[in-house]
This record gives sequence, structure tokens and C-alpha cells, in this order.
Amino acid sequence: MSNASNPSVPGGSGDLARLTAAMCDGTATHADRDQLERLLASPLLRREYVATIRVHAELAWRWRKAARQIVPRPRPKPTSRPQDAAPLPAQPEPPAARAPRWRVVAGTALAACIVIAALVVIQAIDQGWWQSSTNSLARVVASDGAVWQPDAAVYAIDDAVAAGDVLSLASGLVEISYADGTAVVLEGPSSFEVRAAADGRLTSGRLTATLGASSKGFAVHTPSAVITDLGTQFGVEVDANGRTDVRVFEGLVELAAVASLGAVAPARLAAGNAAEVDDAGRITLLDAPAPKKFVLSLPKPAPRPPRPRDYRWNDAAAVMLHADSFIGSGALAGTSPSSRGGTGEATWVAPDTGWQLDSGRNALRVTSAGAAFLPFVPDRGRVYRVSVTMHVSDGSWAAIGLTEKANTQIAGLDHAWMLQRRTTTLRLHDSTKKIPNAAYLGPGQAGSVGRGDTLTGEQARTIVLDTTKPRWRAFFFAGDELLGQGEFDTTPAKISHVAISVFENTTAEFRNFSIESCRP
Amino acid sequence: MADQPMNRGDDVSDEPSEDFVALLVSHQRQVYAFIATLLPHAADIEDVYQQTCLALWKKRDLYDTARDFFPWACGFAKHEAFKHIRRDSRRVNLSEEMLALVADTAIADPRPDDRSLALDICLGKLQADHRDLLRRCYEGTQPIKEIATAMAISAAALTMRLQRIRHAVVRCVEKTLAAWEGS
Repeated sequence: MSNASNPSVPGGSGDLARLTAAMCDGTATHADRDQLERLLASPLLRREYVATIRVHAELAWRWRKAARQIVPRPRPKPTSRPQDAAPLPAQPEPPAARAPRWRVVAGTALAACIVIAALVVIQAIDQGWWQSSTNSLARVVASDGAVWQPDAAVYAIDDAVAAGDVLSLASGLVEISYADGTAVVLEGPSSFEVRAAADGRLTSGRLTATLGASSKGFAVHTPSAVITDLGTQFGVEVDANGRTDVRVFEGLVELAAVASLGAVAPARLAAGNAAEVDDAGRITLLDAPAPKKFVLSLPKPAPRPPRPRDYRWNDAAAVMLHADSFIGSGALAGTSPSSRGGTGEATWVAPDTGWQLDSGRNALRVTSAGAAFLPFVPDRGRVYRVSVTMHVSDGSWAAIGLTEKANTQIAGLDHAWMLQRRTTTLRLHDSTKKIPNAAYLGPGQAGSVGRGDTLTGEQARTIVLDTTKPRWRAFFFAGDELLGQGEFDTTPAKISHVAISVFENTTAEFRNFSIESCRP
Repeated sequence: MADQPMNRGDDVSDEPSEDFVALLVSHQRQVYAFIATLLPHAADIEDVYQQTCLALWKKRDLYDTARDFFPWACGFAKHEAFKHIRRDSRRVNLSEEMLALVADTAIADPRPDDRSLALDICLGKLQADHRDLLRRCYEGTQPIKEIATAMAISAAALTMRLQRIRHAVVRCVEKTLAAWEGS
């Protein structure tokens, strides 16, 4: 989005930005309009105009939405499963200055829409359509000088790789191991997507696959070929034109051209064979292929002790500081975990509305942005575990973390936080893909640690804070899986609260909150 | 694409069709953004959005489920936007010919979920004070002049600052979308 994108239009983006802003602000003059129309005659600048307005609209949508959605409450409508329908959150009273101008009839009809839509969502949740699926199919087992592409997910040894995850190496080597023992060594620059339990797609670059002892039928897809392993070791390289070069080192593979899939029987290549497939579907056996050096495997790091491995935990000396099941009813604000039979006398500081204990769902159900806090001042020389089960059912994201202040209006957290999104899947035209690092984590707002994750649905998340070393450390878990860890740039001696936070226009549920501590 | 609401089903019933409701709710944000491309001023968007939702609700029986909902809804939105412009000329708007071209561009590539997610990420990258400023201005609860006075700057300077922040966000969103598409 710059003038460089359209050098043929004088003024281009600079003027366009100014004129677009004038239209948005309602300050455009007739001369501005005429100039804008001249620019918008260019399809390229028209697209840029639409892109800008969309951001403007999205900002208005999310930040003016509260005013827009306040409508008269409708008569409740019967549903097919009324007994499952959780009570809807009460709508806040509209400030007088922002009272909407809905016609009563529109309000009634649309409020009915909102009610029914909410019930549809609730039923979907009840029926488990949102079920969590971590889809972890492989794990990174070795790495040698790996440099990842900018904006790509960064993987470290032991990181899980889920279906749809793409490993985009700029340089260096990485080895992943599928659950059945099949090993794939990727050599940068390359891009490889883990697609299923015995399936991957190499878009560019080079890999070597070695089947596990009991595995058979591992398939590598490339833009021009499908290579099916019949118990062997082979190398594949995809060049810039999408041509696929296959080398068989041991055993047997089947090689099919994408352009003639189903029409022509796959070729069989034995150990020592090499073949090339072009995008027209021609398979050429290479009698004297140019020598290429494929890396068959990487040295593995020494095995690490079982979890918890990076901090010491002493169960016998552990003390529960707070434990809140969130089983109850009414507003969270001003209540303590002990008032619900949990542990801890301190009371939650929370927004007065939109943070409700939902007795039907045995959860804290949050429907308005902000954060809720319990006091938490960590001592040096201890280890703390902060856990909560969370599920973002609508909107954007929710998080847990440690913070220096208790401002219920601000969802941002200061230290050691983990963020979970409602969705981490993009729909791009006719395909879907996972966004790398969509849900991220970090010791502070300045940057994330670890590779983040793409987990959605209901997730049990834990932050471990280790204050036993001079530099405090944080570890981030989903279930038992360590997602990442990091040190604080400066020891956050000012931590005063633990927080649950929810972003704007988001609905989230929380269960089983706890903080425990031990001196290891 | 239907530019004109048709003449059948003018009655407003409170009996909802769940499928239609689900469609309407799931496309709210898209329709809102589409209206904004025609009438970018916040007050105009709100007015036309209300009228469009009402029109869609009235004409729900005419919706052919074999068709995409979004272009069908955009027909109503466009009609309501043009009606609004003819009725209320307080602000300078694009000509109807240009609006038709802009509408076609907007309908061609809605991608609301992707954009929303990209925006989310880009807002997270903004300096906290820039993000807060953007939010204060977009909430619409305080006039720009008041916000500018509180910041001890002129309204024009604030407008310029907003424009720069918004432009940075737009560039970030486009870059993020392009990176996702190219990855």
C-alpha cells in the first residue's frame, strides 16, 4: 500500500489517504470528492480505498458496537431444546447520549434474530461442534542452524506439529518425526505442510523421508507429483518451477504425476532410481542424475527428563493459594473463591456487568471486554502454577496473565500471559490454513516467547512462574504440553495481580481457576 | 444482484426463520463494512445499516437459499445507501456511478474473518497510546474537538494524527493478509 504500488497515478496513495480520511470524518468538500473520484477511476486505487474503508468499518464495528446492539428485549421464543438454553446475559442500559434510533419493529425483529442466533450457538456448543482438536501429528526432534522464514511459525525441538501447520525454513535443517516413526528432514529454503498422519506437502525446497519400522504408505505431495513410500528412504526436491526431482535411496516408491492422476498408473522406482516430474505430468527417468546431497538424518539432542522438566516442583510442599471452580450464579465482582467452596478469601475485582457465574454451564461466562483480578504478589525463591480452563466461543480472544495493576476496563496484561483465540483458521478463497502463532504468549507486551499455538476450543492452560533464579522465568502449558518459555527482561517485582482478560466483542467461558505454589 | 427490494412480503412478522437469522447474524459485520465503503461517515453507516437490516428482515421470504447471501444482502444495502444519499445530502458523497464501481470492488473480495483477525493482530502491534487514541475517537462518545482539547492539540492536528495511525494499520493489515496468502 504505497505510491510505489501505482506509480502511474500522480498523487496516488498519499492523496488517497487524505481524501479517504476526509470522507470518513465527513469533512470532504466537493473539490475533495471530485479529486477522489478521479483517483478511484483506477481499479488499483479503488481496491486500496475499499481496503482502507474496511479497516475504518471494522474499527467502528467493534468499538461502536455496544451502542448499536442495545435493542428492546424480545419475548423469548421457544426452541427445539429450551432446556439447554443458557440464560442470555443482560444487556447494559444504554447511556442517554448514545441511545440508538432503532424503530421498535426493527428492534423487536432483530432482537429476536440475536436471541435465536445466540441459542443456535449455545446448542452448537452443547452438541460439541466446537470440540477441541489439537491434531498433533508430528514433533520436531532435531534442528541444525534452522532459520525460519519471516512471519512463519518458529519451531523448536520437542514442539508439536499439528495438521495444517507449515514449516517454512529460510535455511538450515530440521527433522520432524511423525507419530508412526516416519522421519522427515527438511532442508532450507523449503516449505512443508504436515497434512495428515502419513501425509505432507512439499511446496518448495528439499526433504528426505525415512519410514518408521512399522509404517507404510507415507505420501509426499508436491505441486507436480505424489510420491508414496512403500517402505523405504527417499529424497524429494521441488524447484522454483514446481518440477519435482525424486531419488530413492532404499526400498520402493510409487510416483504419480499430479497432471495425470487417475489416468496413468503410477511409476515404481526402486533403490538407486531417480526421476523428474514436470507440471505437464511428464515423468522422466534419469539415467545419470546430477549428484545432489540429501541429508538423511540429523544428530538428536540428548533425551530430556520427563515433565515438569524446566522447573522444579515439590508436590508435597505445594500450597493452594486460590482455587475457584466458578460454580455458582450472579456477578463475579466482589465474590471470593471461598464463597463457592473454593480456596482463598480475597475477592475478585471485576467489571460489574458481563462477568457472570453461569449456574447452567458451571462456568464464569464473560460477554463484555475487560479483566478480572485476584491479588497475587509472588515471592522470590518459589514456583507458582496459575491454571484455568478457557474457551472462546465468539469474537476474538481471551487471556490469563500476571499484571501490575487492576484496571477492569483494560484487557491488556503486563507480564507472563497466554492468549487464546476463537479461531486460528483462515479462509483464503477456496482453501483454509492455520495462522502461525495466532495464539501467542509472552512475558510482556513487548514480545512473545515460544512459538505460540493454534489451539482453539476448550483448553486447560497453565502459566508456571519460577522465581528461584535471579532472572524470573515463565513456562506456558496447554494441558501437559509445554508451548514455550521465557525470561523476563527485568524481574517484574511489581506483579500485584493475576488476571483473566477478554477482548472486545468476545464471549468466553472459564472454569477451574487455581494458583498453587511451592518452595522446591 | 438485486438493487431493489421486491414488492412481496412487506409484512413484518416476529416469527423468525432460524436459517435466515443465522445468515443475517453471520453476515452482519460484512454488510456493515460494505455499507461503509459507500457511506464512510459513522452516522451514515449506522442509519443505513439499520434500514438495511429491516429491509432484509422484511424480505427474508424472497431469499433463495441457493444463492450467496452476501451479494443478495448488498443489493438491499446499496439501495438503502442510495436512498439515504438522495434524502440526506448533509455530507459530500461519491457519485452514484462511482459508488456502483466501489460496490462491485467491495463485493468481489469480502474476507471479513481474515481482515478482522489481521486487524486484531495489527492493533496489538500499535503503540498503546495510538491504540487508545484510535479507540477513543471511534467510540463516538466524545467529539474530536474535545479529545483534541484534552490532548492540548488542535482538532486538525488530531485528525492528521488519526489519519497516520489508521494508514499504518491499513498497511499492516494488507501486509499481514498478503503474507498469509503467500505463505
